[in-house]
Amino acid sequence: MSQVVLSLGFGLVTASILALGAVGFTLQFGVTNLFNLSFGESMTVAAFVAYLARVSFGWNMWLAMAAGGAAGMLLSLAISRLVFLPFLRRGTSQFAMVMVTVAVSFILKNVLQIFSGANFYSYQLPPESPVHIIGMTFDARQLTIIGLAVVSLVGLHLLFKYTRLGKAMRATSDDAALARSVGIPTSTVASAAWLLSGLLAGLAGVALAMDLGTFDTNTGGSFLLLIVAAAVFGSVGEPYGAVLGALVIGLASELAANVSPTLKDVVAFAILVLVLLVRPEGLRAGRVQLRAEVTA
Amino acid sequence: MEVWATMLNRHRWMAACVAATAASIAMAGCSSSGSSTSGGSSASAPGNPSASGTFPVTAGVLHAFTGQNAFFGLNAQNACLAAASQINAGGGIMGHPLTCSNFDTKGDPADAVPVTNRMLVSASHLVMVVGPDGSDIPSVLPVLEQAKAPELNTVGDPRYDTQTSPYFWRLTPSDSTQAPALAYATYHQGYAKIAEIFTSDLSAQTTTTPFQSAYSKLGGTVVKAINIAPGQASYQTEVAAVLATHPQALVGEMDARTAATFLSEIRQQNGSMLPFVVTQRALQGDWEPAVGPAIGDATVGKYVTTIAPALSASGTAFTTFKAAMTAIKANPFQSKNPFVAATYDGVIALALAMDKAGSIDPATFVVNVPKVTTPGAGATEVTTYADGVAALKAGKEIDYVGASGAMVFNSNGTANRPYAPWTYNADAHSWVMGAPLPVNAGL
Repeated sequence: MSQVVLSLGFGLVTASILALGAVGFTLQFGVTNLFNLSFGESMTVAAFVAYLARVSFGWNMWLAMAAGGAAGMLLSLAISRLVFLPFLRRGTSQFAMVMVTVAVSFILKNVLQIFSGANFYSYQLPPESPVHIIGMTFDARQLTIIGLAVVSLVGLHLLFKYTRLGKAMRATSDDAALARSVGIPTSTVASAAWLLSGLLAGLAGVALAMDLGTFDTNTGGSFLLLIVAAAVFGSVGEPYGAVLGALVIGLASELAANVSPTLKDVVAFAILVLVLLVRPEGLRAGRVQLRAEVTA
Repeated sequence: MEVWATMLNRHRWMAACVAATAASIAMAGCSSSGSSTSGGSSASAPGNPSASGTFPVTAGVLHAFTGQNAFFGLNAQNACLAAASQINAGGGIMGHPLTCSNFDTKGDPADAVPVTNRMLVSASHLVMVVGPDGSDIPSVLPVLEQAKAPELNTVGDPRYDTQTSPYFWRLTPSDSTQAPALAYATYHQGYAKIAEIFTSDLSAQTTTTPFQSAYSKLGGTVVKAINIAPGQASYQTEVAAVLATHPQALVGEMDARTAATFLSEIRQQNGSMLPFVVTQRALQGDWEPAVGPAIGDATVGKYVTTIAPALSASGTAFTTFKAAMTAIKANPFQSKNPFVAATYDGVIALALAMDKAGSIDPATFVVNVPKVTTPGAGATEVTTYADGVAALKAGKEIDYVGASGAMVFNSNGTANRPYAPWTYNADAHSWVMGAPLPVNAGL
């Protein structure tokens, strides 16, 4: 029993990183309808920027994390404006756009590799003492990651629920043409979605690098499949569903490790397949919070 | 009908996106794609015995040069270049200069086969293949065997312990002999109760069963044995399960990234590191640079012991090898790597076999490989290529003992050698070899 409780705690850490990534991924898809497979590389770039801030400039980890988040925002906005938007203006098909995002991911990774080499990097954080909470064990770094996810997601909830920008995002996600017709500046809203998505990608990348101990140019990309799985699990474009997906995949994979470590991914993706069999558009299809309650 | 059409479109879109994601990640796994370099322009069968005159001959370096296993390619490339510099300084192979041409398998068995085929048709006067590594060899070896291309590898897979091809030359020991050495070193360091952790990939899996057998014969107990999937974001649950059994030490094999995550989580949950006795994988160039930052270089030095082939690091042969590595501007750490030294020796041994046969035709010269590397009555021990050529010209039998020490091939083409424990010197940033271990762990 204690082993299972321990696993739940470890699963929460993984789920927190997944949630940051999956919400960022799904938020951007919800508003722009672009399935962006360069998201993982944005995470990696942010992790490297935080490394520069932390190790090269000697900033503390909070500032380094903020630098990573800011880098994610800027990169996300720049790529959307300089690469994706010109293609979309030419009426490029959705599938071709996915391939454009794949191309961007390769370019980002290889450019990063030119500067970083094939080396591993670490934030060189000192070891932390374990903290025991109702049978679960964490260290301060893991509690920071969980806290970061909670604060970010609550902040997003408040944004969607109570701000004009959040409501405009939901309206644009629901029907961009209709949103434009009622005076919502959808282009600005899309830019805001790219910025927010980039921020979450950046935070997820830094959190992942902190949790792993070391990272390299493949780190974000290798985590992308889990992020996409969490997003698909909860209905792509639906942030609350992505959080749910992250929790299910994070917890299920850690619990499965108690039976056999090699079952971690098997169980997580088996659950995903089962959910998609029963509800092909994801668990929260029809409950899309981004797409409702537009008020003036 | 409209609803169905809409749903169908949505499903197709989502399926396409998920498929593209999976494809993208699969590609990324073998990406960081670079282009392979090829030195040859004229197609030829290996050796091309019908050719005449003095022309360059090629050693095809068939390894991963991009992706996670790129260090294999860089090690093999520099070993080949260093050996070629010695061979060419000694007049070449019967006057033919040796060139090394890289062919990038990307560490992916599916990519490796077409790259191998391309090497076979494009490399000019291919006389040997350096590689491939453990992940590529199952797919590539049948192609090389069919082409009768002599190949020099350092794979550990025990499936090749009984192979009988005359073109297969394994320069370092099989994992089946590594496992007893691992067991011996673990037990004699005072660890009688250990947890065994291996990644679930093939190269790691080949060690587990022979290790458990040898370790239990020595009197040790494996309190927990787990296989972990490499490259996961977290191993916290597996670490907790291991620590719950209170082992004195960990024994196993993990790739660089997996080890960095797993060991940092061991330290985090346990409050301090546990001793880790690891296979030769830790001696590969990517391991310490990944694990060191995660748990600290000093911690690696204090707690990690890797069991790898012994390297004498002294004598004329080693001095010549080191000078050749320096001349080609190789990473200084590569000169201390027993796999690099063994590959360098393998290239020179094959060149000497060609000299002895008076032919660059593999079908003719491969039988001479053991003849130039086996001690025997009347055989003159030589330590450099130039000395070997001189002795052969004088009509002597030779025994090449190179930078990696004696390289005596058994009837299955494997050069078994002694193992030794290596520990990391954090101040010098290099691995330091201890006393060689008894053959087959004294069992």
